[in-house]
Formats: sequence, structure tokens, C-alpha cells
Amino acid sequence: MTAPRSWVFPYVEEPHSKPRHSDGSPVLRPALEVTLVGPSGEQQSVLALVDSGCEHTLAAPFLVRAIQADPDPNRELYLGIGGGSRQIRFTDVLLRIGPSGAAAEEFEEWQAEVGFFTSWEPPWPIILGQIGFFDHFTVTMNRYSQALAVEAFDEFDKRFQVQMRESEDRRRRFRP
Amino acid sequence: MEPVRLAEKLRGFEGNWVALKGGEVVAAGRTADLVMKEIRSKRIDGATILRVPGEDEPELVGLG
Repeated sequence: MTAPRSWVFPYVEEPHSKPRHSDGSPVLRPALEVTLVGPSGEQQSVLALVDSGCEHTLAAPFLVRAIQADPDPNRELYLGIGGGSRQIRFTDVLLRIGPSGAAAEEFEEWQAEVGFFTSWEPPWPIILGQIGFFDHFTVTMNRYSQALAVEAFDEFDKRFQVQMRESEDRRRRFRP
Repeated sequence: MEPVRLAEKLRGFEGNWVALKGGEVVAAGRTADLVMKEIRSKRIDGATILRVPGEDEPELVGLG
């Protein structure tokens, strides 16, 4: 396993044949391939949407079956998504990413809290949100470059010379 | 580096789930479970599963 230095992932064209912009240009998404690994080692790769506005990392119900995960009924939440209230159950899952186009042995993996929808099928197999992804990496998305960069979690502090203070009633800053 | 182009490759799969490997569609179906079943029965490792929006589906905003 190698710690990400500056892994750059090109944006992904929306898999849709109809142009969404009036000039005919396609929709581009910050997305990357992620592999979920279940408790018994079953794994499945999916195309993940990187969503800075989503608090949680959320996954489609088929992935529970794919990796034989066991979402905890005691870690349950209802979120208003897609015009309805959706039930989500969380469990900890190993997530793995690797640099775009690199050898399979170069990767980064981490344990993340992932919420699985119990019935509703979301448009993306997995959404990488603030908890479970953005708290493990410094993520930079740049539309001008049409790419996103994934770096070590403390890169932000080094780059901007700031360190936000923790408060007692908030989730602690991530430490590996 | 260029954006990953998918639309042309996925034309005709609107509304379906697909598995891609090496940039090519190796399985497709109405549900992700069907696609997963197919790639496992064919012993295809390393395929990435995604969903192709339907033709009349509105543009996704966040989780939609």
C-alpha cells in the first residue's frame, strides 16, 4: 500500500447520450473507481461520485450482497433523498482506491463508515461524502482542469498553514 | 489528461446497469444484481459497475 501523494483522476463524462448543455457539451462528474471489500474478502469495484455536499458515504443495496456486508440495524438513519425519505443502515467497510491507470499493487485502502440504502436504488452505486472519504484525504476538485486530486489528509494544513481547532461537541479531526 | 468519455460507449444501454472493463462493456442488465451475477458467472475480475441514466431522466443534482 502506498500513501497517496497527488493522485489525479480525470472527470468522468456523464454516461448519457443526450447533451445536457445548450452548446452540446456533456456533463462532467468528479468520479473515480473505488473497490469495496467486505468482511470475508468479497469485493466489488464501482464508479463512485465524489460529492463534497454529502455528509455521509452512501451505497446502493446491491453492494451489501456483492461484498456480503452486514449493515447494523442499530446504526440507522433516514435521509431525504430523491423525493422521499430513505432508510440507511451503516457498517464499516474497507474501501480501496488506486491512481488512475496505475498498476494494481499501488493503492490506498481505509476503513470507512458506509451507509447502505435498505431498498431505494440510488443513481450512483456509491457516493463518497464528507465522512468516509473527505475526512481521510485532502480532495481538490477543479472544473478548469476537469480533474480531481486526492492527497494525504494533512496536505491541506501544510498547504494553507491552518489547523482548525477541535471542539468537544464535534467529531474529532481524523487521525490514522 | 482528458475526461473519461463514456456516453458514446454506453449508447443503447440507457436505463441499464453496466459493467466496464478496460473501457468496454462486459455485462449489462436492468438491475445491478443481474450485472453482478453475470460478471461473476463469467469470472470477470476487476470490472466496474455503474448505471446509465435513462434517456428521459432529468439531470442528476447531488443524489437526485
